[in-house]
Amino acid sequence: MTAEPLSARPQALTDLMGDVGLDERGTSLWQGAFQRLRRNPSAIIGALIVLAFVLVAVFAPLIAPYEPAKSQWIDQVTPSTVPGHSAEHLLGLDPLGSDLFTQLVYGARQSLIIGIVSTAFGLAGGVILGTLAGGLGGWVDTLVMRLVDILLSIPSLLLAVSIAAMLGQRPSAIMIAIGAAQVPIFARLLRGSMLAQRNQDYVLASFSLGLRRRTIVMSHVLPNSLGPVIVQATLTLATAIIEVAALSYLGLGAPDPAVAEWGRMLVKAQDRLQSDPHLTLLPGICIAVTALGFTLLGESLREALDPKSRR
Amino acid sequence: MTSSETVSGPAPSPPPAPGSDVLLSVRGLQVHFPIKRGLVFDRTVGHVRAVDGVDLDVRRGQTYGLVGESGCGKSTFGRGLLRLEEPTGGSVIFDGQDIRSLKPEALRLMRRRMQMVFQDPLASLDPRQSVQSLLSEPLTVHGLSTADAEEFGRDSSSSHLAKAAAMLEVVGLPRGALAKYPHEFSGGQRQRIGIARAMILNPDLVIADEPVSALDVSVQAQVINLLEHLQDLLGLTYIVIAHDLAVVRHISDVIGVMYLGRLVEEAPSDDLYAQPLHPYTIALMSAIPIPDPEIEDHRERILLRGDLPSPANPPSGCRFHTRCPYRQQTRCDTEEPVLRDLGAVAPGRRVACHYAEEILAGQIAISDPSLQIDPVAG
Repeated sequence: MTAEPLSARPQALTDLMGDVGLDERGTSLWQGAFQRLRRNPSAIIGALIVLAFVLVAVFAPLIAPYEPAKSQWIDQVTPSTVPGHSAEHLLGLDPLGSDLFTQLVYGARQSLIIGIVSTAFGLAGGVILGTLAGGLGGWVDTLVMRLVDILLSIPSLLLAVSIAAMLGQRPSAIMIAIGAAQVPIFARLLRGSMLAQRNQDYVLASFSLGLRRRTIVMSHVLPNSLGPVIVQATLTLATAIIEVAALSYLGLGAPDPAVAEWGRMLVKAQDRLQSDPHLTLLPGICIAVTALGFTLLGESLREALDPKSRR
Repeated sequence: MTSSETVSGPAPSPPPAPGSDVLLSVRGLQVHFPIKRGLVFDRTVGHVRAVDGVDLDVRRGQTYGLVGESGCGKSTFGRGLLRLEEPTGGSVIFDGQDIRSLKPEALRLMRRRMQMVFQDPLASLDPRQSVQSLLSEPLTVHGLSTADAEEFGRDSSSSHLAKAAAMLEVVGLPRGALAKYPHEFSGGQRQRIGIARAMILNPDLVIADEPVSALDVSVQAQVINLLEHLQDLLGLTYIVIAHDLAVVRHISDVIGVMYLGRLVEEAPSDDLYAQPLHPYTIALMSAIPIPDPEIEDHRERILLRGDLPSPANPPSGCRFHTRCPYRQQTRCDTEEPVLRDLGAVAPGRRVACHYAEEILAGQIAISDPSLQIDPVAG
């Protein structure tokens, strides 16, 4: 770093000279966090896993050799056996007579869409509620937080199952259900973070400068409070993918049993666990690795954004 | 229990007329914080009387120093003046206008003329804002662009930039600092940025709340000198809040000493240090070391016993009587002393002590000898 000799100079001398370094460009908090992230091996591993997952999902039609959810080889599947590896089918067939590799590739697409959409939904709801509570305070805060407490007192999977059951068997239902279960977590996190920021001197300074309350909340308190929420969103993406699998496993996913989705593949394979364990293991590993990727990324983001790790 | 029950002494002098020599006139200012109990329904079980009836006048161009130990309410007083903490009683007349009666929007506009410099320069700057954004935000908010456009540039953003750069130069930072963020500066530089931000609106009154206590001693003097330089340059009036007596002495024209939410003594700076009158001030002054080992070894020092009493339940009578080395049996714990003019005895000074004249004349000795540190042993 070129800044090394500068920081070695006594502080009084630096002050006296009014010297703030030779480079004229500053480093914002996010830029600094990104630089720390690049030096963190677990962040790189996490980012690579996530990147691979996203690429597979986006380019699924190019990677997969066949169309998904077409039970065109159903005649080759018997009640006791499924064809394994062959020249046409890299990983063999699934119990409904589709190509297993194709199903896995398209499953990534399903998981990614559901994970991102449901987390975005939960994040949006949570940010709105949290900003209302943390920004306005008073009775709005009390009202919103009691509502959130009620939602939090229900186990999130149970809440998601109830909502999914209520909305019927639609792919959108599962996203809304998982997102809704995440709203209280985001709301509470953002509110707490905003309350901590509201007591900072810079908020007082903004008031004394004559800024409007709305401006202070929206352009100072909120951006400074979002760090932990963004970290939580990354971690929640991993949970969402697992919860999608859980809800599909419980039979609350898409109505078509042949649709390519990792959780659903687990369900279909469970009665063949003894004879063909790879049918459950492969989608299971996919879920676990993807979740691991998002978790690693989220945890390193948390570390990088931690103000204590700043120089 | 209402918070406006305490009335201090005789009718205070009426606030001065607008345009007079006095810029800020505070009468009976109170800031009480409710103490709440209860899980679901909050009950108010008492009040913390952080500021409990302060009267003072600040003249234009003057620096008023406010000293006192931690928890005496001096910071809350400063915030109460700007209504950053809402006062619960009394009046604040700024240039003839009653600050407490202003509507929110009028108050917001009035804040341009009353600025604040904070103790912790890092905490008082938004970590996400570059210096340029920090300095131009107040200009944007108060729409100062049109007036300055002729002087600094054509459109408002470039005139803001020019003004921000000019202000940085005044506080001794290079133009290159504009693109940087607060965490990239040293403590002294950050405080300079905080000062630049307060001054860029061209205020009349600046309240500096412990402006140098978070800084290294080596940097403190520079920042104090900068504040003095800016006062001369911009014709500012200061209220400097500090616990460091040396800092306040250097910068202030008039000093007020606060104890437990009240002003106990007010005097011109040099007079106060030459001859403190209130027992609390005497004790504070005796704590300043003298840089001469001969005198330091033999001078008389007074020890203050115990902590500051709780401002939620201040002592009866004189608030200082629980710790006062000159405490008398007769009036101290029953009758609350008012901040009174001493007249011919000590012109221009106000003291809130029943026995100020007697203490000055040496007629009352320290009542409890154990409070006095033995000069030989100590």
